[in-house]
Amino acid sequence: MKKSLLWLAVLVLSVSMIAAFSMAAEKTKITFWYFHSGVEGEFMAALADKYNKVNPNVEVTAVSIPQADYMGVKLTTAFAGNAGPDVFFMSPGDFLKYANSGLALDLTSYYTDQLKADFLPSALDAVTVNGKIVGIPFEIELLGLYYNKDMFAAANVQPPKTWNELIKATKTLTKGKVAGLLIEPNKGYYQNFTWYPFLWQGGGGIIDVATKKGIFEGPAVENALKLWGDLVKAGAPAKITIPGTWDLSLLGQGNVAMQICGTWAIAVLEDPKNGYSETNIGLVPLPIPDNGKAATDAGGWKFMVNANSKNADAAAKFAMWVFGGDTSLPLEWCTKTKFAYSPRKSVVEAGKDIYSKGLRKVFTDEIYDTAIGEPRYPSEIVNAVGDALQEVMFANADPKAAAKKANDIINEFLKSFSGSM
Amino acid sequence: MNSEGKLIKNKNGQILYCVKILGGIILGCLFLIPIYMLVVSSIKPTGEVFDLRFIPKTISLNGYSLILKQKFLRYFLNSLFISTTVTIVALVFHSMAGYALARLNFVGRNVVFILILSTLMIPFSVILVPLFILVKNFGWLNTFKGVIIPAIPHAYGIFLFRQFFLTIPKELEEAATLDGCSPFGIFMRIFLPLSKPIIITLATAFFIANWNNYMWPMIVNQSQNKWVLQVALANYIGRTGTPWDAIMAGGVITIIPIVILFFVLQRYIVEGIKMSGIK
Amino acid sequence: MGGMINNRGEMLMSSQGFAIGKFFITKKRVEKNLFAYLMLAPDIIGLAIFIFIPVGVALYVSLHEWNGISPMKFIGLKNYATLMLDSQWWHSVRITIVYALMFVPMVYCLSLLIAVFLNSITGKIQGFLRTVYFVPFTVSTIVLSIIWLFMLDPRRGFVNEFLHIFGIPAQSFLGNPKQALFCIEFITAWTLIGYYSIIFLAVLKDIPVIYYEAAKLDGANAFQLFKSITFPMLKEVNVFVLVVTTIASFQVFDQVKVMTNGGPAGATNVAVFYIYTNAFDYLKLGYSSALAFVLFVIMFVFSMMLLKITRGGVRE
Repeated sequence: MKKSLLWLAVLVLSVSMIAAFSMAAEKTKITFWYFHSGVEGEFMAALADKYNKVNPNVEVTAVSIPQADYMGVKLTTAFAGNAGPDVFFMSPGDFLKYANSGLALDLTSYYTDQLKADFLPSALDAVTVNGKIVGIPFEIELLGLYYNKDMFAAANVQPPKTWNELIKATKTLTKGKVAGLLIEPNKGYYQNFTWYPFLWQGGGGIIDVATKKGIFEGPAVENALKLWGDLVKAGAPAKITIPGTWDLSLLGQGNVAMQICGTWAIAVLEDPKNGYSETNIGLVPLPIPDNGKAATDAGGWKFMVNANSKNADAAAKFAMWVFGGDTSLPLEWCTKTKFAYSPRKSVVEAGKDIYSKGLRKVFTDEIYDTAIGEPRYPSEIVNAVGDALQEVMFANADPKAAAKKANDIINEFLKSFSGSM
Repeated sequence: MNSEGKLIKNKNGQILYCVKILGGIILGCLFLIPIYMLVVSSIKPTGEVFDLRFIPKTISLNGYSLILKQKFLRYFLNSLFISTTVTIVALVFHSMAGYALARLNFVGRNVVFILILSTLMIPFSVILVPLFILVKNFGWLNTFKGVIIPAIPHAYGIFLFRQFFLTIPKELEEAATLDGCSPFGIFMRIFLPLSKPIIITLATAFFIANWNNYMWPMIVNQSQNKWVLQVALANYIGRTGTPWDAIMAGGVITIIPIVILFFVLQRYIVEGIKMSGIK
Repeated sequence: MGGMINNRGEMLMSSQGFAIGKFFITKKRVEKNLFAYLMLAPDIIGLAIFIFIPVGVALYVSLHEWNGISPMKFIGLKNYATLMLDSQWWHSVRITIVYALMFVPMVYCLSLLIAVFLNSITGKIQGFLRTVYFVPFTVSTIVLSIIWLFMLDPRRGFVNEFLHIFGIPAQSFLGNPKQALFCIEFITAWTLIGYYSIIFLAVLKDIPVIYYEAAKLDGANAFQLFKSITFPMLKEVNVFVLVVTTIASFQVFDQVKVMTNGGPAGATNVAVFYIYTNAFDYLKLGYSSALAFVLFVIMFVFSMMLLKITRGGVRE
């Protein structure tokens, strides 16, 4: 009798131990997709391990996706097939599409009041749709005009402050194998992003949100279009060897004299691995038209959580931990891995020494206050504007006609569009 | 064989031959200039890749060491596995289908041929999403079979086999049937051996297509271990700090195995058929 | 041969088989058809699962409005009505047809020419040259786009340097709306010519030398040799190359996406690129499916015409 009791006890013990082990092995699995490469990619990949260590019953897997196809084919097919990631990055241009479709998880409950107050109001507005916060902003990237100091000195030219000076400088500095200025020639969301400041500087706009009408016409629009056409005629290349002008390689290697690029470029220039630290590069705010107001674009990707995720709660917690928690990770991202401004006041405060280092000082002192948040237009509008730009730049179209054509398309589209702007 | 054994006897013939060779080599150089550009760019340091010079200012193998450090062997083996499997299975299936379309008289032959051909006319962009959903429902996401199996059926190979089998003289078949050979026997013992050139051509084409394939493997795959070469390469091209010398080196590395493979095999492609069997 | 005969004198049933109307079904015929379909089975099943089913789904989607992330909305044939009036779409179709009309003859003629040229070179050097011309075919789209962007760079690319020697001013090539489409063609042709010349070579090698020798004895020159001997023997492979390059040129996409993104100013906005933009940039999966179906019909008509003209490459 005693023996069988003993055996029963052993059996119960072992069964419960096995159960305990398998339950402990039942981790909540979360997938996290990113498109960043280089040091930025390493930062993202490390997030998974960091979080897993602190949260043993969650397993985050970070997956790297090629940047060129991340927003287009990869995310779309994945979500269409209900195989999307739990946590992912969202471009400002496509933000509304995903928010309006209900795919973005409502994160309002995860934001403490203290956290909400920590964010810049405009940054939080950009991720709020119908009163719900559906994303996490974590970077503000500004545009400026980088230039090669040595080339300017050799040609005895001052860095341009106005549009006319910009055109003249481009012409003067386009010699032999060097192009005077690099602006984005490829149609797409990035070309628009780099062009909007010139539209805004003259007081122009694309849509009046209140009346839901297109306002893509008038002198400000035409002049901004004409400027880019003039710049191409002055020497800005119609085709470049790099995939896009977000890449500073050509400026860094001394193949161009000026390039419109963003805050992210500073970390690239300073990284000795890239070999550009020898090139003497300076930074000035974007040139303005006569009677215009300084303006630049403030962009930056957002963090989003999949509302259809099986582990939505755990995914949201991970997302908030990365950029909505302790200031260490956002600070590292904005000041070490790359350079960007943080939408969180506490992070800005913690990193305030960085903001006056080197070229960052120019952004902080001269550019930051002129920043206007990147618009969230649907792709039909982005496309219409892009077509107008392309036609003026490369097909010698009349800016007025090109603007009117785009405006008509925009108005036609707005008639049937019912989502939020 | 037609030209291998011929001796060039007269002087005019010799001059013509030299001119031809020279012309061929010049044409070859023109073909290869972009490839030279690729190789030369891969041995430049990152800071000089865009100077587009033909003779590098500095030579650096940094690109290669960077690329090889990145588990490239793993991606190489993935690509090799996928390409080889697809090629072998596709060759078997397509040769069978091509034979049926070329030489067997069956009900609905023309309809089947047109149906098969029409699959070539469908842009991949439009079946991408439905195919993805299908593969996901099979549970093949992030698996090798999800990449391999949909790549096997392809009208291109069926079409080429059909056209080639059409060139084989009917007399051979008739002789074999008289000898009491079954249709399958004819296929195995006559058509297949005679199709060595086409088999090798298609094998090369399929292998290369799958080796260089990017879109579908990128879509189906969700984990880094299963990356194929082209997906791995694309991942390094990012917004900031793209290691262009490594990209170039990666490009060269992906080309070398195929060129070697082709150089070894191309002799068999153009050997031709020994037609003396007819007589 | 005994058997039943009906009142019209037709054989209805015999030891070999029976009749249904005009078709006489014999055991042998059934076996033959069965064998053919068995040979075709693996590919037909594969194509049915991985192409026909997705195509069916795509056709179904074309009757809806769908952005991939919200539920579908049925709108009947509205997508088709919209595309009829979509001037950008017809512009894309026009560009694609122009591309095909220039591309197919170029690739066909050049690869045939090179094949004939190679065939006339004796010795091991032929193998060396074959490999050299084939190398471009081994390069992937991503890599070849990078190197051709280098080659065609408006300021510093090799091609402009080369033209400079002859005093020709630097061209924008891929940045020039008038030149961009041709550049894409040229680059694509560069990758394919070596490969198709191998296919032609494989068939050229089968033409028995004695045909040529006999004709030469009769005093035929090179052109007549080609016309009366070489060309007829290429009938089947001609059809293959023409049909396949036609279909491929209508579907040109990869190079456009990586090198020009449809530009500059829409000069390379070919049909498949427009379909792709609608599907993955605008998230209009329904509309893009409708566009693809229309493109399919256009391609189908062209290909059937081509097959009719060449009689499918079946001799006699």
